[in-house]
Amino acid sequence: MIAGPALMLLIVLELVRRRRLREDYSLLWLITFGVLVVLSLFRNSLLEMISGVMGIAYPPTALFVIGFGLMLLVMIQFSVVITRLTRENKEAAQHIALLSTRVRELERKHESESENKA
Amino acid sequence: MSTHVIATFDEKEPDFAAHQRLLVIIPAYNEEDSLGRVIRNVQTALPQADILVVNDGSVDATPEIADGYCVRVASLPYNLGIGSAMQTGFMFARDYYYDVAVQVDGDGQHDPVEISELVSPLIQGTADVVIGSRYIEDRGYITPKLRRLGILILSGIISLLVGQKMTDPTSGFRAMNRRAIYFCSSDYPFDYPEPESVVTLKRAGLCIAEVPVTMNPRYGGQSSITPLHSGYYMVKVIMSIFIGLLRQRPEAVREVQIVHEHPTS
Repeated sequence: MIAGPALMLLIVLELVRRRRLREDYSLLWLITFGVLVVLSLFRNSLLEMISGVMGIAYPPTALFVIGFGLMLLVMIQFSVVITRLTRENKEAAQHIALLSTRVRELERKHESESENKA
Repeated sequence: MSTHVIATFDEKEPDFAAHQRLLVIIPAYNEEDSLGRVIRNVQTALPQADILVVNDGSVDATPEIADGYCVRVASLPYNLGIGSAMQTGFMFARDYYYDVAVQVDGDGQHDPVEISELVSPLIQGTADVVIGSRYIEDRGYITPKLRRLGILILSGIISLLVGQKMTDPTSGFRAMNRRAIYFCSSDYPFDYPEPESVVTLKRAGLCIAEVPVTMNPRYGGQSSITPLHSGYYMVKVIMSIFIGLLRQRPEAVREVQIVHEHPTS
């Protein structure tokens, strides 16, 4: 039960080390797997207690519920990041459009000026 | 490269309603069937206006058709949606110091002859935004029943929220002054922007007026609002409006300086 989240924790750390994953986007993953590792380590004390508080008869179920909740948080973070990227992407596209309009305008002006000189 | 040369602003006769500089923004997404006709109609109705076609990532001949006319074209590298396309037009109007910006859809539904009626409340200073409404007077525009119902629901909600009777908040046939141009260039919904922007503009302290207009059946292309999308349209628009109300009221638009010089001239 502990090997899974521990391995995932190492994978995330390795991705960050190789700069394949940014620190800020890795944080929630590290928390998720860290919590799962800790709960698996202390399944007879901590997990028992938490599942008791949550009213869950079978303690490993509490592990799933907590893991699921943390994953939802990661997914909300994804949506927030996607929204920001969409906005930045839109703004970049708008600037490209306005700049190319301006470049064409200046080109035309330049052309007509050099024609006048000739 | 087209060979015609667009007159720069300083060469133009500033005779339009006491030196008001007018930009007609035509958002166009795959409007090759109708765009040429729309541009010609605008040029005939308002020879003194500048025209900006915002090509919203069209995959047909829309940009080539626009290039064949004496208009400016802003081509977005990919499709962003009508709201972001219009916002690009407002940014252009802001950057080039236009006094008035008018939206005329590229599908031919709006009659450019009526632009002057939209603009006159702005010139008189009685409104910051003027919306052309199909439903103030019955001018024979036939709306499908279900769509009419949707528009009535939106009109009701929006009229209540802004404390003013709004008969056609979905209309894209609009004119804006510099205050409104400024606001919309920084804050405009990305898709289905019309109903939501009525609420945000009003909250920003801008004055909105409606004038009756006649809308034509579209020349070509397809409505962006298919039956499948109508449900999403209603949900998105109503949700956006109500969540928008939870936001801090936008800062009142400060009086913007009116400059008649072209920045590059």
